[in-house]
Amino acid sequence: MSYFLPHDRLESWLDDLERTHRVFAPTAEGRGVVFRRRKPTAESPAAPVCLERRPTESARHVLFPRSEVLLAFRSAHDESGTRVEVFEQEAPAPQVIVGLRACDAKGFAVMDRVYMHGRYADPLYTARRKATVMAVLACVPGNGPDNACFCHWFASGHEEHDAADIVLTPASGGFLIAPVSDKGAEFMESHAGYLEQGNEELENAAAAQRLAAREFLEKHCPAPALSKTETAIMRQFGNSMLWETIGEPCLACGVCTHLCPSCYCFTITDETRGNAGARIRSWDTCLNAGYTLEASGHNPRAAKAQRLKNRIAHKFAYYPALHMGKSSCVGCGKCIRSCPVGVDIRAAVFRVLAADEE
Amino acid sequence: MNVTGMRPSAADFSVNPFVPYVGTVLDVIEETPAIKTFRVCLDEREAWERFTFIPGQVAQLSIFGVGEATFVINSPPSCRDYLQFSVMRAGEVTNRLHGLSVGDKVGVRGPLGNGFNVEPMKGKNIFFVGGGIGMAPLRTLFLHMLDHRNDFGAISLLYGARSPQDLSYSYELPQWLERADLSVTLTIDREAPDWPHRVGLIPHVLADLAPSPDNAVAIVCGPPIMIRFTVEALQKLGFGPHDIVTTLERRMKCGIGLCGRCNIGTKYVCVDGPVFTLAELQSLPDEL
Repeated sequence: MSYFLPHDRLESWLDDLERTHRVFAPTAEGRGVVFRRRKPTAESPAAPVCLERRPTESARHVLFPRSEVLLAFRSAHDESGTRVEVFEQEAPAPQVIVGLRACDAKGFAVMDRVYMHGRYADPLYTARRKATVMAVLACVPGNGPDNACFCHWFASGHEEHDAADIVLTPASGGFLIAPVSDKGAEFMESHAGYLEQGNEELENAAAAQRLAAREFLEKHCPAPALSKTETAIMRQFGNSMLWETIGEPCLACGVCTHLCPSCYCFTITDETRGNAGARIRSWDTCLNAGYTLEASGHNPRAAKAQRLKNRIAHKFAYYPALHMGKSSCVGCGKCIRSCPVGVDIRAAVFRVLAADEE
Repeated sequence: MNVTGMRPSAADFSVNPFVPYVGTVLDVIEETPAIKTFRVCLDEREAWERFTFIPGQVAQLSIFGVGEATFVINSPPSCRDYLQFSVMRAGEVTNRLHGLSVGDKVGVRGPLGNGFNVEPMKGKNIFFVGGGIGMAPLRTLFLHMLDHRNDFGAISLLYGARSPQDLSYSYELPQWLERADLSVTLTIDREAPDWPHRVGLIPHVLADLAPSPDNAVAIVCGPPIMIRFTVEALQKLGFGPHDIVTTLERRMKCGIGLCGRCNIGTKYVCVDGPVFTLAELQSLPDEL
């Protein structure tokens, strides 16, 4: 079952989704394209959705906010002593993310393995993840792959549906919409009001577009032997010359980790005002020197090169070792496009593989 | 801080592992100029009855509004009156913990980590080597083994600190020294007046004591440099990598394997550790 959404009904369809879901969609802001809650009202319509350009950030913050309250507390004193009350977040409302790309959706699949199916489930992420429908926009020539993209290394492309519930493909003056999960099918059944029926001709045209995008990727940036990265990285772990060369230009600013769909490290800090306060979880980055600094002053990753090594090794060696060979890099290219000094994670991988073959 | 839009927490670690149990400080013991021991009980009776652990497991101890830090629970599992934590003053949270008095409220989140694998130690001779604050993780296992004394062979303890004033649990040491079924050796780094025990660095005293590696397990805790030289001394004595057990420290936040910072290669010290055999450490990338 597929649907067709003509371009001129896109905004109305998105507004209609608000009946049942909080809608997050990409919006152009300056040079960026970022995910925002739409929240249209009678007085002020939602900012127009921007599906013509690739988002410049991942949608990770929709399920894993940059900063959020893990718990709040309040203390009361009386003759019998002190009492501390602890509060947790309420269950999240249903929501839908429209217009994230396949690579960003795959980032959630990477997080799911750790945050939902690990030894301890993160209750906040898990609840939001279950309450979220992912409506992926397929990349097609002219609206998608550029020279920094390398999702085909990890099969993050458009025929793979890691974490996606619905796939929208630009076609014939609108979008072909196809549910790819039970959750997506159910969602579409109750939100088909503005849609026309899809047909085989549209489906074939959409598939051809997606294939063309994939062919572009395979031609411009052939994948290395990813099965070898785990061994190569561990064998080259002590090759400090290699890692210093790779990390030399790095500023340790952490922009790569903050834009990454599959980086999920965080820190926890307390804040108080009067007799109440909160324990807050905020995104952190393994490139920050303070990340592993111990109270004694000892720091196991004191050097920048060691910290960049940890980021690359986590994506291409540690995570695959723990999750059946799957890399945690999704090939979205955001770190490459946004690095102020041009660190290219693909080049780093090729360099480690080459060093290991010598 | 506004708690509107939030609900009272059920405080169940198995449901939300970020929420600590509220506890009360029952006792504060000044061990050394830098170390204080806190005895803590959980306020909710049900939570307290559910709270079981194995020796070597840790917990996040917190002051609400200040933050959390990780400490080994150094009371033995058989102790049902309190959980005991020994805190060396080092950073922001530990400084504030040192200001706690009896009756103050704390958060306790746990138990976390793997703890000691006691089963394969049964029937073996056990040699404990503790340096400074490293006695804390040993204490829980040591007392646990005394609770089940017949399950183990000879039990020995070599415990050292810089000076007599730096020995924690000094009030317990006389009774341990007296017991016929224990062999306890104390040492300090430099001569001190009226010190009747050994003088010398732990690895040297260990080499002198020369425990037999036959059917034996050595358990080593202390500062990194002490662990390094003690492990070398044990290897010289013939202890194999599977028979040397130690605990690692790493900066931690979540304690449940999510926040990322305590990894050494694929291992997260908070959930895969803090207890590792030397054999396990040797398989990790060199990033201590």
